[in-house]
Amino acid sequence: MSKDECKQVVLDIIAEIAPDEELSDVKPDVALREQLDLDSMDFLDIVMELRKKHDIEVPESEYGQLVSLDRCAEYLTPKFNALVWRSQLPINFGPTIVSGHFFVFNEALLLRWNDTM
Amino acid sequence: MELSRIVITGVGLTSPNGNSLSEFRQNLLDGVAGISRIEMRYMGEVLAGVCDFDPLRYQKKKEVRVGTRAGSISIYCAQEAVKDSGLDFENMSKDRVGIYVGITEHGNVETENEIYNISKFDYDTKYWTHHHNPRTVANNPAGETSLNLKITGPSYTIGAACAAGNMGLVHALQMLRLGEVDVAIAGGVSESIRSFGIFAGFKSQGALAEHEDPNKASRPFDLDRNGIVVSEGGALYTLERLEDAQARGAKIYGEIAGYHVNSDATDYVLPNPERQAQCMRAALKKAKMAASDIHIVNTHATATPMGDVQECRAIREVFADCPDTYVNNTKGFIGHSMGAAGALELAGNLPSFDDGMVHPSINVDKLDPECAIPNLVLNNPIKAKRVDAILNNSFGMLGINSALIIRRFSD
Repeated sequence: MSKDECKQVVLDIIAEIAPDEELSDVKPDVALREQLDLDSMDFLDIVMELRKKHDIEVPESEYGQLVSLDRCAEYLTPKFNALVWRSQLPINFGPTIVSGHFFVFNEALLLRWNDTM
Repeated sequence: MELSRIVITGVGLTSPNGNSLSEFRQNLLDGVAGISRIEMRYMGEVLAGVCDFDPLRYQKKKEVRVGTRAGSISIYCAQEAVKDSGLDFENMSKDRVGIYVGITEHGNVETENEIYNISKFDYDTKYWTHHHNPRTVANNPAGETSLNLKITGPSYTIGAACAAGNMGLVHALQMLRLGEVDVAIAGGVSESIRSFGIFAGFKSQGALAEHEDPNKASRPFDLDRNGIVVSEGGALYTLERLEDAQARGAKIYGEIAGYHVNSDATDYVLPNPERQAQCMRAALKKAKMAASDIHIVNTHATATPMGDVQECRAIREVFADCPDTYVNNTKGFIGHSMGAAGALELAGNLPSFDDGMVHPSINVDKLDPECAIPNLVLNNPIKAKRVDAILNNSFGMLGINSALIIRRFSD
């Protein structure tokens, strides 16, 4: 997967969770929250959709990596490609999802994450 | 102590056969029901009353996605009621507005959806949505409404099984009389048709209606009735103290003249006609009215074999020798809208103060002799000599009874 393809995956997710937003002019280098009406629950939706649709796990400590489309692409593209790589292995090397803790109600972490957004 | 008089100044509703009071009323007079067949998870086709209002009239797409169906119904009804009331809502103090929404239940729909969702992931709870708790807290519909209308006064729900619609209005009246708020948005809502558990529960109880023609399935008082048609819907009103309504020259639909709420304390599901009669009598006493002063009794009857007979027994006793009192039922048209039922069915009768008509109970081909009470309006509307007062019954499981009396407004 290329970085541009990765950005499109993220945009497709945002289109679902924030259907009122106009996404044609999203600037890849600007924080998503600065240009779109997204709150912390929406970012949790992005994390959840990455998990459900793409088997991508984003640990809480790395939520800040999703701050902008460029950062998303930097962070997520290797994860997508690792999934592809694993799926091509002849032997099942175990779980493809790196297990991470995900406490929705950990306010401190959410705040920290929000600050980075 | 002289209690404030409380009046209705606005109505907002959505029902399976109408998304405004005028449309709803016209369909009740024209005999137009609104029941359809829908696909229910795990069960196949079931009969249900489905509303087709446009939630995007008052909500963003994201709000609809994040929120609940009950929230959308509540928001639609509240916005419509506020608009209808003529209140200068933009400029009024929102901390003096209260939202009191009756619900039969809340959270079943969202919980069932989430369990279904994680079933696709081998029941791994890490796929359980973070929206679950705000969606399922019991105050959800009222809370979503406060967010939507930027109302900062009290907003909560009143859980009272299928008596909840009336209870929302009763509670609002009490809060207005206590001076807690200046305007109340109150009534009831239901999203129950999206929960297979509600249908399956009634089916296991032998109380889920079936008929080859959906619009003939809900048939209170008919000898061949075979249970409840579950519906969604809502009706919310703006209520104000009379002096406030008059000061702004508001249109007044009617005055809440009396009410009563009591409990059977006899059974989980079976009604108790003795307590129902006591409830109606106590409401009349609070209203300082005689039974003969009531011109329409809108029944709760849900088309269960036992429930209809028991309520008719109570009405026969309370309204004996009342030649000008007509009795009707709204569920034949719209099914049982659960937490919305009391409020929605009242709305269907309120226009009688203006047009003098009494809408009928439909689908009564063979009247059950045990339901043959005097002046039961069957299948066709009738013109009453006059309609000055309506008594609205709403009863619920665990034996909660409510009776609400609305009087034509007069100085």
